Amino acid sequence: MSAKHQKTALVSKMDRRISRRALTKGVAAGAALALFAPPIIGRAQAATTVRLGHTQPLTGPSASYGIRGRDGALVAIKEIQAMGGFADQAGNKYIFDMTEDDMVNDPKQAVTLFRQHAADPSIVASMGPTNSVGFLPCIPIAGQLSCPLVGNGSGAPVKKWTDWAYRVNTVATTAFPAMMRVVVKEANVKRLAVIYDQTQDAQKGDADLCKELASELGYEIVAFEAMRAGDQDFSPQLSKMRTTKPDAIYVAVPTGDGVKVVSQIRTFAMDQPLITGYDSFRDPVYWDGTSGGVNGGYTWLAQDVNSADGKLKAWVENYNKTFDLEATSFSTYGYDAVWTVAECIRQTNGTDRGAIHEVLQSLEYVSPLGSKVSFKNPPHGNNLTPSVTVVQVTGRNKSRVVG
Amino acid sequence: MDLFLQQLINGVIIGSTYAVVAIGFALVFTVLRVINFAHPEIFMTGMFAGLLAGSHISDNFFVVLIFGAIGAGAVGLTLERFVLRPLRGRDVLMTLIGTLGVAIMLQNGMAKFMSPDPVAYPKSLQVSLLLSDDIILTSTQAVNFIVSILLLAGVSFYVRKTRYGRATRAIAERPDVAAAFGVDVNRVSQVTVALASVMAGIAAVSVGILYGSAWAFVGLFYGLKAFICMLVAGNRYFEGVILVAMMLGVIEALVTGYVSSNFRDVAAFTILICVLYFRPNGLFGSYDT
Repeated sequence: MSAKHQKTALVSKMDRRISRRALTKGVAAGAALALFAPPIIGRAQAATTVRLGHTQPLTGPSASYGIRGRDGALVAIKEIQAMGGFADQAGNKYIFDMTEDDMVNDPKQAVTLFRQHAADPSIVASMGPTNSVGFLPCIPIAGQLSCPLVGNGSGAPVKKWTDWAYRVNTVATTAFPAMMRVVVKEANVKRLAVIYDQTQDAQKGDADLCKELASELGYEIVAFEAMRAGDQDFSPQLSKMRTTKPDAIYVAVPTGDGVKVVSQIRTFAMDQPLITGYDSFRDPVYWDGTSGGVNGGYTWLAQDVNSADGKLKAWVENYNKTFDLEATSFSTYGYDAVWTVAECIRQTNGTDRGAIHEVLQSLEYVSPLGSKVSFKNPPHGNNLTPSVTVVQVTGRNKSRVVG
Repeated sequence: MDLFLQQLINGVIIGSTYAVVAIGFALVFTVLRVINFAHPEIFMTGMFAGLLAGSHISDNFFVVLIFGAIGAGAVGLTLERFVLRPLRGRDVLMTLIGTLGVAIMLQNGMAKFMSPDPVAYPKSLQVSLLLSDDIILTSTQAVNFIVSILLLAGVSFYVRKTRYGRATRAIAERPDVAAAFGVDVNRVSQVTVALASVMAGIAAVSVGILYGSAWAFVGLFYGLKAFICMLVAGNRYFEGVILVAMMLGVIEALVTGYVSSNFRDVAAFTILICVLYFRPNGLFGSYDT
């Protein structure tokens, strides 16, 4: 090949190379445009992702409450995502991303996790825990760190509130007297025995309320026995209780340990009606774990998810299809807590913690499930308009409303 | 008087289970010189192995018992092979943390795999009342007690009368001398962990049937009490551990019956503190470590 031909061939080859490079660049640019342009264009219209902290006892004796609280919150989050986000008053849209932190029934762990939420500027509010042993110690921290805390199940009495802490659920001081008025009459209770978990604030609070209401409601406390979370053998307490011949037994024990307590009550040939709070006896875990030992037992709840109709019924059906553990009131509390934070963001047109805190102080809101949530804090962060339903367990996932 | 007798029965029954778990702790501590914090969780694994057998194979009492023993024994041997043996001779803290890690894994793994809540146990025995209306002794309580006593008698026989038992005591006294005289330390360690685990598995099934439920976190309760029993008695005489466990059960029951259930656990820890103050090697003495 001549030098000229060689040069021409080289140039031609280079042209082809340049041509291929140009083509490659063009394709790459096109692909980049195709890949990235729509999100860039869309981003202006897409919903902003807002983070929520969520702490629950996902393991340990209170896990059956915590898992329901978390799962209920997940339903709300998926619902918001499915509708493309919720809009504030200025038309900005938001969706939620949520942490799922396990406090393992340990108050120190609950406080640590809450501190982590408060330290993370991307988190606008912290939710949970459902158990009072975790929620109560976080209340003062919420005030110190100026981070909104929205509880979704804790019902124990709170000695000192801060206007940064709230709870959407029904609390014992409201529900307990309402339930006992109905049950004492219905079951003709004159002699009441109590067994309570001294390590759990909510259950200890229930036990104290049993004492406080005794004279007003006309019954006598004949046994007042304590146990600790994780205990296995209750025969000494139950033997003592049995000698007092009670008309009914109040089981102020979280579900995990309560299953063991009720099983042993029945083994000890004590067939009295049982009473507890927080919708616990209707939990299928209780029915299965005691082989139906809670049959005839009384409890209170915010919304009767078993006999629900309309929207709540559809919600419960969908929930039960999605999650392993069936819906209880704690599921609706978890759901309502997420929507409560959403409502605060909607009213403030933003995600500033201080603004959310201001809205929470005097919130009036009805969640998509129809739960009324209203706060006036100070003096306290309890939901001022809770609903209370008293039910008697009549089977697995079956109950009748008695008041 | 009825209440006293009732609490005595309650105390002896719970004490016998404390004793089985405490002996497991003591056996492993004596031979391997480690506190096996996973032992209570091996107990729990045996409970669930029995539950699975009862639910899927047969709820016959002996079938459930055998599977409980196999399940716990298998976990115990795995622990010995992959955690205790590689860490032998290292700092005691490493073994302690290793077994604690296994305990946490077993607890939370079982909670995830089975349920974080108590699960109903197969009804392998009919619950019937054996004494009077005023004093209750259920058939399941009686069986639990008998099973525990048989296990304790068995371990006492093993330690005193068998070749491996003598080797166990020789290693407990002077492991280096025992090894020099031809005792296969690895083999004896393996047998000891297996024995302690199988005992725990059998006791756990019996407890599951007694209380009608199995729970992923059940080990914490028995582990704490059994550990106290071992510390209070010392590990030189296994019969001493059994006696202390029985006494602890009875004291707890009597405190609940006659003082207050609030002080039930206070009693156990008060005894522990007093004994450690006056007799740091335990009431019946301990092997040098």
